[in-house]
Amino acid sequence: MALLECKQLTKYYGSTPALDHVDLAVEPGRIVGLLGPNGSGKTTLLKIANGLLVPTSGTLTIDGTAPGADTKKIVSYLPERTYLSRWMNVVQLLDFFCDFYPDFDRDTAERMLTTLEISPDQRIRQMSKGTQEKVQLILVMSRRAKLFLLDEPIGGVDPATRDYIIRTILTNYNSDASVVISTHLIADVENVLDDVIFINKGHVALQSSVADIRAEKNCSVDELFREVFRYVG
Amino acid sequence: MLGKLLKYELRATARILLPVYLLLMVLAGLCRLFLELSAQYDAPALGIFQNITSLLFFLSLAGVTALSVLLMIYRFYKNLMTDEGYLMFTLPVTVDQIIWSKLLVAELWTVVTVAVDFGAVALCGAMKDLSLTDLWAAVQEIWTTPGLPHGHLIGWLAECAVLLLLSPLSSMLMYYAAIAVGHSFPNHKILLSFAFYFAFSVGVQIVGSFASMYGLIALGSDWIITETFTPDIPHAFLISMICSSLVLCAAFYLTTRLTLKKRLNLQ
Repeated sequence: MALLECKQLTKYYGSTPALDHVDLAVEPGRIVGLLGPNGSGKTTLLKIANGLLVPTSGTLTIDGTAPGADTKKIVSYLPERTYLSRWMNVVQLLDFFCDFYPDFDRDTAERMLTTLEISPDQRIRQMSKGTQEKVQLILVMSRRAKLFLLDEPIGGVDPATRDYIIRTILTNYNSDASVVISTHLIADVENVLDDVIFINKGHVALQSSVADIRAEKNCSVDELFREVFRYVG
Repeated sequence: MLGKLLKYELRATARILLPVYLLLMVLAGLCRLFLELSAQYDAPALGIFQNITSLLFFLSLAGVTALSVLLMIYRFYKNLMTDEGYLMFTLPVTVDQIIWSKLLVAELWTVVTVAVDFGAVALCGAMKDLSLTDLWAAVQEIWTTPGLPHGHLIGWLAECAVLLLLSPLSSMLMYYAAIAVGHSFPNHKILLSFAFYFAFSVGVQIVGSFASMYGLIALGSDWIITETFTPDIPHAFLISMICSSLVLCAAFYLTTRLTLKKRLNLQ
């Protein structure tokens, strides 16, 4: 059974369609790139998967269940926003995640914090935006979740941290789990992806494995993306 | 999970309210100190200090009460409607648990704030002429008045207590509903929250006026016509007030719940 499945998923903001009859499936054990230009519907899709938005029509299921308290136990979500309470320090945040997520691995989180030289006593409000994003990523990736939904995880950080984040994603999920990475920085993630979903103006333009793209189209995902989303002008 | 939500909500609010309570108590203590000193020594400077500390104390008293309400409203807005909402609404908890955690903590701090206010007033010396022994003697005197309906008196007091506890809940839920509905729109979220709060207040006033008029006619007509007062009249009045409060609580709770479940629209 697919870990994440959309059937005719549609979301309208007023009269504007953000997702239009989307059908897709993410199988267990895959790293999937959800790729598309800004405003293509990537964030809307991830928000629906996390119960932050209700679809206008169609269904989205996670492990066969509609988003709710039960699916949130198995989904680890990194939104594009920094959601940490600014008055908390890192230790308090680790306590918070330990309390609410039984699958949170505190040792892993502490190890990653040490590697990135982030002090456990530091308050969020004292951190730069980049450091806040690193802390958030560490918290999200330290869970033993079945499905990781990462919205622009490498958007706002320097290239060295970007490499660390990608290594972190690769080394911190188990083989049964799936990772969906939404991004438009394709070249940086291309080498770690198993599958890609191209999404444009709320429609799925392509869903394929990276191996098939390379074999059949004889090009990289980045090249194909530029081809598919090329502006004619 | 409700217990864990309550723990973090209490921690987030206590870090602000406890120092504020402490400050109020310190001001009350200073107020008392200058009151006692100016009573013992005839020095104009002491009188000036007494006036300044008294003014500061009574301003702080009003400030602490206002702050405790504003903080609860701010917590709901900040923790659920801004970026922090991305974490809160992706925790493995239900919307009901989230609302109840905010509501129960707000109720608790309301009760604590009232207790601290009374404590501070007692400490500052405003009630120093009030003797607890005299107060207790007065209560006993009233209690032993012949013909007093003791059972009804306890009932009235219990009904008043329930009403006093329900009142902050319905007020807080009205704020929550206004903020939740206002933030379900794509733009002008804060402005719309104020607009919905105003609309809800007007609605409550209109419905409340009709309900009291009906209550007065239905419950008080016998009393007015026959001039016979029965203990059931205050009971009926208080119970009808409790029922109105419960209806308001239910209406605003369901509005908040439905909006957060179906029309959540975090930016």
